[in-house]
Amino acid sequence: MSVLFELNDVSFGYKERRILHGISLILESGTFVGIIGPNGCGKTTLLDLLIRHRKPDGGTIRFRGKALEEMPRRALAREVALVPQHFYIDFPFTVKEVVMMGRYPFMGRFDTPSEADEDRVRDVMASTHTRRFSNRLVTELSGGERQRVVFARALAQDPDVLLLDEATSNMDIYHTLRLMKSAAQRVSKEKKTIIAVMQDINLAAAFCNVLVFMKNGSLVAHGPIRETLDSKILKAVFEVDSHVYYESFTQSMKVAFRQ
Amino acid sequence: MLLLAGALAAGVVTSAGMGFIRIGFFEILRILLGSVTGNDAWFSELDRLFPVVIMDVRLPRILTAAFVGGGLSMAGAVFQGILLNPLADPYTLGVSAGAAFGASLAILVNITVMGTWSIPLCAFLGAMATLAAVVFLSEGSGGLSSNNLILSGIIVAAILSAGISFLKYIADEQVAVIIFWLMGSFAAKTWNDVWMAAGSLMIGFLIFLFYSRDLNVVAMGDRTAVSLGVDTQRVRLILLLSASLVSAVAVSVSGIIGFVGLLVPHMMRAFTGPDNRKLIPVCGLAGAVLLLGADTVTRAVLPREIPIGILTALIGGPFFCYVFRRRRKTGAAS
Repeated sequence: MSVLFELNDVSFGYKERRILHGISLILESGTFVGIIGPNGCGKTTLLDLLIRHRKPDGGTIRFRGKALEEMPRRALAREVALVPQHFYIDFPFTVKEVVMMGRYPFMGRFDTPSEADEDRVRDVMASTHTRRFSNRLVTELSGGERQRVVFARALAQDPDVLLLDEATSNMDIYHTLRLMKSAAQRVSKEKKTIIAVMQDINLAAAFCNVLVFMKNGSLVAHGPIRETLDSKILKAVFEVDSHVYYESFTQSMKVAFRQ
Repeated sequence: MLLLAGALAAGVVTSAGMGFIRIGFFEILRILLGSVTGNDAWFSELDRLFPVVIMDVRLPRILTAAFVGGGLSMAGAVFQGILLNPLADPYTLGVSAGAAFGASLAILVNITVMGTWSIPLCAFLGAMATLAAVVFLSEGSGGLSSNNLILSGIIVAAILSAGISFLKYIADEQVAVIIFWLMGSFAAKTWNDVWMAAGSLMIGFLIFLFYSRDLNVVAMGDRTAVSLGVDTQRVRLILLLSASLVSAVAVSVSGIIGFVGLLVPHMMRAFTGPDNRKLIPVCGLAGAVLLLGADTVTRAVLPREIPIGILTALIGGPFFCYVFRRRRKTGAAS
């Protein structure tokens, strides 16, 4: 395990509204990190900073020891991929064209896809069950299908670091489990890193090994799941009463909430 | 694409023969070849008038129409990409209103320092000033996002069109000149117009083509584009400037010709798909053929010449209604 992202006193905001303040955090490679917190607490903004979609107002972010803002965008795109929360486009690209865009950071501007690019796209489409509609238009897919296509596009980038922003929010339970499982395998077998913003705490408990709790733009807790997943922290973050226990059927921690 | 290029070449030659003085197809080819190679022998046995009519009157007009049509269509495709909206066109950001305002002002206060170039130059300056205002306005409200740009464009265009109305109101006799200019025309175009339109089109085309793959990615939304290594703000700004430049030159040369920049990208997307690497070149050719055809209709087919802007809107409007209705029925987006 080595240090991947190093955030030092990072803050971000608009004129009147501060979104993130004073975040210092070290994220290590080879981990499945879950970012958890109430709506509007700055989780998505944090991911935006990590892919350089936005620039912090204060503090520094380093990626593998180098200042993030000095990295060329294309070089970053070869290592870090994102599955955004909302994906809507008005142009009728085919599913395959969209997935192929994941290879763009590796191709010259006027190149046609190489054999290896085609192979990679075929593989990820098979693993995300999107091959059977590879020639349909993305504008005609359902929300969950479109999310799987976006997931496939991010996997086509073959990234060391995969950022997921509620990437399974529209998927059925079968595909949710399938994709989370394949993501977890990337971490355990290939030593890749996943940083996932999640709403479903039980899903996070089943797959993540590190949790980051946020509230109102600040960190509340951060650490291995056995140290951070407890009812006191959940109470502090979400103001709900909960009971954390080990569930032998799923072989993972579970959280039950009081209505 | 070869088909379109062939259609364009055939269109140029055919339309050169149409008009008050009819000239045969092969005679035109001989005149063209002779003029290009500088060898008068090719057309020495023809009527002395024919080469003059072709080379000095019809060809400049025909080529200007083709270049303007191609430029507007390509710019339309680019605008639709950067604004993430298949209903955008080269005029969405108020370039046309700015050019119209500049031209109206030039006509009204009778600016003639630059001779025949005065009105196009003022139109061009107006268009560029408008673009600067739009970019400044949307930068100030949080970056060059699609919504910011469209809103800024609407605001600036609304102010300018009030300004144009005011200019017309106080214009007295010149009001007819202003109105006629605004409706667009290719009458009395010279080789200077051809070179200007061709130059901006070529520069624009190269820039569009260079960024066409990035434009595909930008159409996926900002977050996705950034995560694929594209600097969206920079790509947007460069494409915005170059597409506006192409449209501004087109408007300055020929007045406001609507619907070409909206319709052609729409129609062509049905054939090529939304991939800008194919769409933009095809739009260039198809737009050239279309506007050349429309201009030939008003010049040589109709009993009396009507402004080309009216013709394109009259034909394009209903056609767009048809496309729009059909799209709703099949349920497919664009």
